[in-house]
Amino acid sequence: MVESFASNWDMLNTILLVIVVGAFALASLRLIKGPSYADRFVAIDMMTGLVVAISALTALATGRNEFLDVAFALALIAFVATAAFAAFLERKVQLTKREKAQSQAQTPVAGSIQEATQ
Amino acid sequence: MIEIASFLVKVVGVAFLLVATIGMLRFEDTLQRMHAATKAGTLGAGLVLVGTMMNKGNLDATLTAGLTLLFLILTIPVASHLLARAAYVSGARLAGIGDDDALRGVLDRPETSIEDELTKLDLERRALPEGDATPAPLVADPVLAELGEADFASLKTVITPERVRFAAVGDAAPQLARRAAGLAARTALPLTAVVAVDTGYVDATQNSAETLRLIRDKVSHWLPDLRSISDDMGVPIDLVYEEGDAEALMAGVGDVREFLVLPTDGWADHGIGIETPHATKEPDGLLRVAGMHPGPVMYAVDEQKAGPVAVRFDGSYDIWRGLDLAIVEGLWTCNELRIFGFVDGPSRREIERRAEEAKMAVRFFAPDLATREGAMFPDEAIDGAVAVIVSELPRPLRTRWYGVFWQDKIAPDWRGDVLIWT
Repeated sequence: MVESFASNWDMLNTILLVIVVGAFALASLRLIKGPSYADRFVAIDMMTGLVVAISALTALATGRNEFLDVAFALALIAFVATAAFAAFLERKVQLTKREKAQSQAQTPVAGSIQEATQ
Repeated sequence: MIEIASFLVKVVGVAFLLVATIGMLRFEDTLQRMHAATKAGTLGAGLVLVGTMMNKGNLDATLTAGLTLLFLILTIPVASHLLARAAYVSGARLAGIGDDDALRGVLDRPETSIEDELTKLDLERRALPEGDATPAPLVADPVLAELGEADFASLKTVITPERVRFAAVGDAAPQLARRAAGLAARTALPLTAVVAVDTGYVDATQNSAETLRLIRDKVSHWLPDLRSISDDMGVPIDLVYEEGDAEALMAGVGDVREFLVLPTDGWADHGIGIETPHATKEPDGLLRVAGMHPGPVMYAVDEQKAGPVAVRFDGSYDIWRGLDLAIVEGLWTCNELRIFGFVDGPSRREIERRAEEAKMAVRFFAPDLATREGAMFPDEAIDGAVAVIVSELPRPLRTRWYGVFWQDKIAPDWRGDVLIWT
């Protein structure tokens, strides 16, 4: 039995790979559904983790080490991306708060969010 | 053997990833989803990496995968913390937390989530009647609302200031008073002096009562000068003394018809020179006042001079009304307008027409002229100019940025009046 496994390592890796890709598809459902911004960012964060795993498994399935470098770069970028998303969200909250205060101060409607962001 | 071990590790890793994803799909709120995604997700990805390392076995792959693993373990807690904080602050739904919110009072959390808030604002905006699609300006400006931006030609009969106000600050107050009285006399408008004391600064000093006493001493020292200037120039000056948020006090109640005259330097600590650990000594608030006051603002130098006026033209409404104010009210004894920037045909003819009416010469300077040290104006345009009209102040809004005085960023070594109406 060990022999039959051993002869099929590549195929088994590919099966694992397909499962993780399936998980990736599931995670993207959360990205699409939201409902909050934070949910989408969590989904993106998770998806990067999945892609790291996908890259590692691809490296095994294809036998090419370059895919490990891809995994490394993705892990690096994911951190910066998540931090930036979090900062963006907090900033958006502040700006919306300010705009709301303005729209209440002067009726009927204050300037657009684009203006507030400028 | 190692293959089997590595395969098992990978299978466990993939199982964790799958469970994490399903958790992320099925949990109720953001933080629960994050709990699934980050913990199980990291473990899953980490195990897959370990499995890969075992399988590959060579140094190259082990190093890369090991570094990736290390980096994941180092960064994911930080990233998750940031994201969780942002989720909480953005008002994302927290299921079943009830009265158990340990962060209440620690972090600001709005009642409604940011998505609902944005949708509401968006709906409000769309509810505007057709044809009124342009959003209302952020600063309430009744005159602008009546007019519409395109109506430049009729502007000069509409917006004219009805009052002049100046900020009496520090030892230079009498000189500025003389300038402001001159302007008031020229335009025949009533003049108010506001003596503001920055309580923010006072509170930041160690002995607040003593600081306040010093400031009042200083103010009372030059106050009689104001009276004699008022008599000299034949312009009555209303005096207002106030303590509080100096920027707001200087900016006033927000009347678009109020002409605000500010010094180019100095702050509402009135130059008593006590340093505080919490407030800078530099008068940084001064340049922010222009943005807070809806009417025209002039940063005036001590001496009234005659000469050309340079304009940084950008076609904006702000520049046009600044230009109008200068021409109609005759703020400066100006024989020449120097327009720097891109001017389209109609604007060019309009400027020429108005200058001719006011008996001024006009020179246009191409927008691609080189400026020195990132200044706003090229030397050719500003040489000898007594004043500039701009639609924005040089950034950052600091009176001294690493020792460079803010007017040096308009043009190096240039000193003069700055008129801005935003």
